Amino acid sequence: MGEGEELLRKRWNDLQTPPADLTRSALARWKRNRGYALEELLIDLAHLEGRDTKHGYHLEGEQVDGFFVVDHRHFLLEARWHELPIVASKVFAFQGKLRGKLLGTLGLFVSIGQFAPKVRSALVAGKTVDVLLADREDIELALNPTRSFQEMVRVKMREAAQTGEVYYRYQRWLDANP
Amino acid sequence: MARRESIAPLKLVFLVEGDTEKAFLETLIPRVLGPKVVVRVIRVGPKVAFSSTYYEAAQFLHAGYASIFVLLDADTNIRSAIDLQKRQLVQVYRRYGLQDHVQIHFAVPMLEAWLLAGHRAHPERSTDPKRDLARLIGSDSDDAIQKLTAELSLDVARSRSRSFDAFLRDLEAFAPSKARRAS
Repeated sequence: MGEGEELLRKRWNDLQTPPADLTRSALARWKRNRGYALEELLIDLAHLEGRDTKHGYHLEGEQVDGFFVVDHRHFLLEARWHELPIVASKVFAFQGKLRGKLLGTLGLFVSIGQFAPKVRSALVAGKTVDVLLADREDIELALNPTRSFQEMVRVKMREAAQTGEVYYRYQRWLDANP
Repeated sequence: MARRESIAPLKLVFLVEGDTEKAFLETLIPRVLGPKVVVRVIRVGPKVAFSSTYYEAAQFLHAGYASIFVLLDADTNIRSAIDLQKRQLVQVYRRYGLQDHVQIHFAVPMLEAWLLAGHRAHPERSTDPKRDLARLIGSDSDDAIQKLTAELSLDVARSRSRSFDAFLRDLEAFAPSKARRAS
């Protein structure tokens, strides 16, 4: 494993458990900062793999968590680390950020918590499919030294193109293609 | 010298939710069907993602796999709710003409109850099989699941869990001796 990958893995591990003895407000602050740290980690991972990337930035009236390019497709990143499942309205709000950007720009919505059961179907029912979903397991695999972030994105993109499935797990592909 | 025809091994695919099911099946299937069967277990993830598994099912059937088993946690022991979940999945495979090659099974209320069935009566009535199993084996690691599966009395477990019995019956239909009888 390269030094950069090892460092990213350590950063990921550090995000898993809050320091002991935090007050309630300090814990809330730590969790908020964990969300920002996740955004940075994901973009750093893509950058380490040689992708064209940009860390989170503000535009008028909106915050973009990050940007990266895989296989000449431009992606906006949304990264959440919430204890409650992500509901469809959160993903729709992210989809709104894709509007007004270059046609063909895609979105990767990463939730380390769960997605609510209806998110997947709400995203594809009669709509333009332009957001892919990733969860904790996907990110852990992408951080695995034998796998990669870009492969994870590529696998998801390929499946969404073929079947419209926006929540295709990286593990599912690895199991089917050992 | 007479040419000996090679007999292709039986190949089965199992579409499951996660790691526990994978550890369980990879230990159970050789016990039921023998060591020569080729088994591919695919962790699909959340239940909602199963409606897109028709694509993999078609690919594996095309690649010579004999059948696709879909194994999910029912997450309930209410029969009508389980039947509804099953009907919804059957519709998915029927739409693509795959229904005759796909066996859909729900562990009631979840896979852990099948493992519990070797150790206690009425496992399907457990309100929290995961907790009960954790108390029994002290760990939910893949190794612990595999060990428990290897030691599970199948006859006892199937007599206590209807859903496990139904799963085993469909699985046993692929046992080599039955295949020979059928041919």
